[in-house]
Amino acid sequence: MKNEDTYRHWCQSRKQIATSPDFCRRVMDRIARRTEKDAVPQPARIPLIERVSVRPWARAAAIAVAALIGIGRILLTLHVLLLA
Amino acid sequence: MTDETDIIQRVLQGDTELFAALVERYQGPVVRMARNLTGDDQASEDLAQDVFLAAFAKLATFDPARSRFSTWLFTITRNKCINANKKKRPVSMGQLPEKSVRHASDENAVRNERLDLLDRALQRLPAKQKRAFVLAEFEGLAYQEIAQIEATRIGTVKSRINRARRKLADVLRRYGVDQP
Repeated sequence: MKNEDTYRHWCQSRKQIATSPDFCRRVMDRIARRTEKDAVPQPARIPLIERVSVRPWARAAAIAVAALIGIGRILLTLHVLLLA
Repeated sequence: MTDETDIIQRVLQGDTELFAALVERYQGPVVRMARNLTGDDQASEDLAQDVFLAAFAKLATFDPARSRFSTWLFTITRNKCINANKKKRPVSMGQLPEKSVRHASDENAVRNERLDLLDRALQRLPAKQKRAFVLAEFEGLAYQEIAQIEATRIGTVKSRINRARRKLADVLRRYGVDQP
């Protein structure tokens, strides 16, 4: 009988696990945070590269900036080599 | 459970605050199930929070024609617990204590020791047996509902529960519990 009593007492104790009083509020806070994050306007979340690629003038500007940076680097390298 | 279906419909229509009613209703069973399946007091509430968050995110996929909301929620809890247990180290056989020699005056200490022993024995059970046992014994679910959660047959559930009970009884018999 002792075994049965122990077993029954153990089952009862396992059924009586309490939850923190603020558990529900914490869950709802996390849901609210997630909902807010999902509500961020779509354009703000589009990566820069995607935004540039859909506008011809922005694409041209990006190519021009890249070309200028490339030329600048070549000139800088030549300058360093010639003066060395 | 029409009431629940109504709440779910309204949550899906944007009344997210109503989800709190479902959290209030099921927080006890979900936390308890997480605690009993992981054996971790600290982590069980965090895990239960993750369960409710996942339930909220997937609420549109819940089909009342296929299962009850509680069954669906317990299935999410089960899956989260399986993932949590995979990250933990298994409890080894060597961690169970030797047969205790105590006097009657230590009644409380002995009782607590036995409860602790059963806790550890529960965590040492094979995962499938442990889940079936916890769902039946602590959550009071019907065999059919457990079979649905575990995606198995009722007969398999019954045999897992019986094997778990036998193993726990064996532990009590072997370690320090004297027969009158």
